[in-house]
Amino acid sequence: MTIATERKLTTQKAIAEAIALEMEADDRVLVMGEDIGVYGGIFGATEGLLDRFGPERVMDTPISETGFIGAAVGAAINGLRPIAELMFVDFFGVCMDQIYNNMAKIHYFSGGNVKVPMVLMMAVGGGYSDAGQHSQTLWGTFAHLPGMKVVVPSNPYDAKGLMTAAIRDDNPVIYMFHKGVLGLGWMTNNPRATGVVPTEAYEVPIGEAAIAREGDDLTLVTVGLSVHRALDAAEMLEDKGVSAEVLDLRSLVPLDRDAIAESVAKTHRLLVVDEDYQSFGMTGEVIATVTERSFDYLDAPPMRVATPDTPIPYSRPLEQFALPSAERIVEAAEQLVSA
Amino acid sequence: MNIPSEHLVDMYETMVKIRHFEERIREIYFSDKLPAFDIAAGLIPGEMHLAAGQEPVAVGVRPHLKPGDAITATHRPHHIAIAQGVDLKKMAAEIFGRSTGLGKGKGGHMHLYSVEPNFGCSGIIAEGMPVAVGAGLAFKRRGTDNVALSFFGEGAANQGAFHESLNLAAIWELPVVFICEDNAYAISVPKTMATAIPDNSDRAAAYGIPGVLVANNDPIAVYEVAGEAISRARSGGGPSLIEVKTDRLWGHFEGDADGYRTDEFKKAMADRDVVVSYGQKLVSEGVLTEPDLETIKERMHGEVEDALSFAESSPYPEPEDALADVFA
Amino acid sequence: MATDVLMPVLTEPGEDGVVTAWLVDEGGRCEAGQLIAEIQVEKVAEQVYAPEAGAVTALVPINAPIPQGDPICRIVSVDESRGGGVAEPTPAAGAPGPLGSGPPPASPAAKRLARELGVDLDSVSGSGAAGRITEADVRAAAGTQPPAPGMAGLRAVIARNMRRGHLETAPVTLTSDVDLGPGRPEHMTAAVIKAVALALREHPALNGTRDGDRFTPAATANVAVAVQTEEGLVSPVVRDPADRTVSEIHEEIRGLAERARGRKLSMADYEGGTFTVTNLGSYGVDGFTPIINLPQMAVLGVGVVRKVPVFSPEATVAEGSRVVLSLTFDHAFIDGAPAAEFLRRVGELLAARG
Repeated sequence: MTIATERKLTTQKAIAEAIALEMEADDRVLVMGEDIGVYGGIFGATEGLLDRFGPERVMDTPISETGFIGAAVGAAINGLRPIAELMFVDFFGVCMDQIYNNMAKIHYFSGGNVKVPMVLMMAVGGGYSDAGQHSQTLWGTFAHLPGMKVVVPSNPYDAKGLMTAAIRDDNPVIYMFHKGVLGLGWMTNNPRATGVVPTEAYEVPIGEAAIAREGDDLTLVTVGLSVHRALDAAEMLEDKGVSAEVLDLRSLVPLDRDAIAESVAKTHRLLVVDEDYQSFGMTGEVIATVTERSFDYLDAPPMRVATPDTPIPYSRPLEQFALPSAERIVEAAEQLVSA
Repeated sequence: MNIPSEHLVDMYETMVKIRHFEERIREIYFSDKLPAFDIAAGLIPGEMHLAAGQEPVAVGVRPHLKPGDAITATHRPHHIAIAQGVDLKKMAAEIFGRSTGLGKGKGGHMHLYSVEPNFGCSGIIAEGMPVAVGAGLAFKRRGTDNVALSFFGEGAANQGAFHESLNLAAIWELPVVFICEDNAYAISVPKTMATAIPDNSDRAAAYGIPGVLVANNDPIAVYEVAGEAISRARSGGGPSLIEVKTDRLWGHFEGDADGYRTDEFKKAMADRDVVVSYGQKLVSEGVLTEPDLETIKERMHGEVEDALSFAESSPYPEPEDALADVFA
Repeated sequence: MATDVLMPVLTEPGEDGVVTAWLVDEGGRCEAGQLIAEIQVEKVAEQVYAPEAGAVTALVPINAPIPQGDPICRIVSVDESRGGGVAEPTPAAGAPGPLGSGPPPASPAAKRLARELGVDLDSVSGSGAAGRITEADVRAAAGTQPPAPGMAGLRAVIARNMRRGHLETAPVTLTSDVDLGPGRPEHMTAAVIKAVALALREHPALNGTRDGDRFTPAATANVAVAVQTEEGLVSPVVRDPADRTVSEIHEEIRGLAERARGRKLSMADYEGGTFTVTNLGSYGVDGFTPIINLPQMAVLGVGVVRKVPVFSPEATVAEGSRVVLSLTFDHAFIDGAPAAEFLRRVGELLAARG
């Protein structure tokens, strides 16, 4: 890809820019959610939009997730292209029926006659002591249920491209942005949260993984903030003479199984890293895929580093233990290459 | 109010069509499931929720609709779909699970979706209410004068989505008419055990919108009240709530022993069967003659039979078609 | 409950026999009556079936002399055998499961590489966790391993496959002396492969694989071609040659043969074959009885192309050629007439240079 400028943005600003460009180009696009208007979104995903497009297209809603997410479904069916924000993925409990039973199934129930072209974006992830109900990632739950695409960008370039693709997609897309990759001033500084982003609108294809770092000795498969941790781990591993390839899935639905198989065919060792709960989720899906498709290429049993099957704790040492850290990844990788 | 006689007659004809459709579906549903009821067996498998007796709520709204108006409904949808003019053949075919159905057999009786007319229904209580709000939002943004109608039962009025939807429609001043079909029972639970106040129409006040009660199962009363609410919405006057006391003549679902309603209750409903009484009323007011009733019956029955034979003679989808249409 | 499985007594108790092939892995599960080993006593081969279901352990080494009547392995009933219990996953990683006794396990990649390089896993020591054999171990062994006595590596695999092909089918060989017309086909093997692929389109019952009694037809014909290497016969696959030119097919065979001799074939090169062609013409052989390459249905042998005098249309004598084709097919699945029709069609296509 050719980058038109060397201008850098944080992931948060890249998301807001993507939405703004699409709202400019297509007046069917509108945004709604709690505090997304005047406040610009609790995590800044809609920064600047209210001033630019006005309250009819940038709508602060009451605390009525079922109401406004269902309204987004109805609006999408009837000619608009809404973006609804669920403030924290952890809140899906109060409105999941509209998401997985309605939004995700209408296209199927209608035999393809009715489309629901909407984006449901949500903040995910922990690491800053927001405790058990405000720190989850939960993409495994959404990816498991049929009828909705699920994307998880890890960097500014992908964040803008995937948001653009999501808005233009005629299907419901769950867009999950990890708070730790946004580059917010009030969170712990993250150098990987800023990057070069073209000024014009562009798409990153949904369903395509990207190699964040090439390597030969093992494949690290992951999404979101864990891509940053994996890259950190890969640097540490290099000093120890281990060459790790980092595969950023970018989308979970559709899942780029070919990219996973290709990488494992090269390295023969797999380590999956997931900030979501370990059991019955993304790590299991990736390992099952590799076992099914790349069994004869495995030189060691696949491994995974994930958040354990416990609620995410509040106290810093507890939370840091639970979430996948670069150190845990390095330790597992070393075990993997000697297995 | 002076109601044009073509509307009066149209409402009667539609009621006859709906009633015959529901009766025939019921007949076919049971025909190949007995003697030992197997819900999975037969031409119409699965659950079946029929609306015999609730015709007035649907037909009273019908004459006020324009093309493009959106309706969302519930697990008991047939009367509303028929009243709105959903293609009866494709609807029957969908109920029969055939590839010629509205959803190619993938939705079934509780998930009927039509693009023209703009109709959708779902099996989750109150799920369609926020969707109607969204349709109203789209109409307002796009500058059309279409309205969205949300049909739901008195049981749904206690679901969170009811309250969120009325509040949102009110605060955003959307062209939505919320229509509550109060048939007194949510499956087996009577309204008196579930709802804290006697009339859901009074809940409208909590959201600052007009709320009207239609105390009898009368298509003309529904016509009048709905006409006002719909034209208010069309002209930018915002949402309203209408509650209609109606009669669910049969059980909640087909196969329901319906032992929780007394025989007296059921007899009283049968005695005031609105299709009969409304037809008689039109005759006594000189709008129709007795022979007219006969002709209408033949015509409407004929339409229903055409739709049912289309459905029965349509092919089933290929098994692998199950995998298609998840994504556009 | 555990049962010893004994070396069959074919001559006299106490005289030695050897296990020539294990058809289960150490710790592997078997059904009652399942074929689990092939043994040999005084050059007589015999098959050994599991007397009951369970996990097979304590497998004696291949080619080790075992007195007839002595145990060659043990079958433990499933709840008694050591299950592969995995430790509770810690946040860091899953631990490897406990392993049974017997030859060390090898990773799938190591097994694949060992097949490819003709390395006998029994003679490789594992440096991985719990003694697992890794690719690196196999590579190291390939470099240093001397040829083991008895049948090892590729030879053992060929032996096993040949025996199974012979014993598990009802093989019938038809030969046909085919008139190839004037001149002779260029690149005989490639021409036969193309003719076979085309003919298989018209005779799908010979194109596919079988599993027990079930035949699965294949959508396209992928023709394996037998290549003689130092270590033995291997059959890499030419994919979907029906619509390719003879020269293209010839080039591909050459490449495959070169890689085969250089031990550079990969697993994928062996996969997906639905029919095999084997050419002994360069050794002067006419008709022969090739063995079916399981799980395929049939194999076509090609003999030497003989120069013969033919009458040209002008009634003068010209040079033509003939060749004997030998088709072995499994009569359990396919009858003689359809097989014969297929063979005739191949001959027709060859003669027409089609």
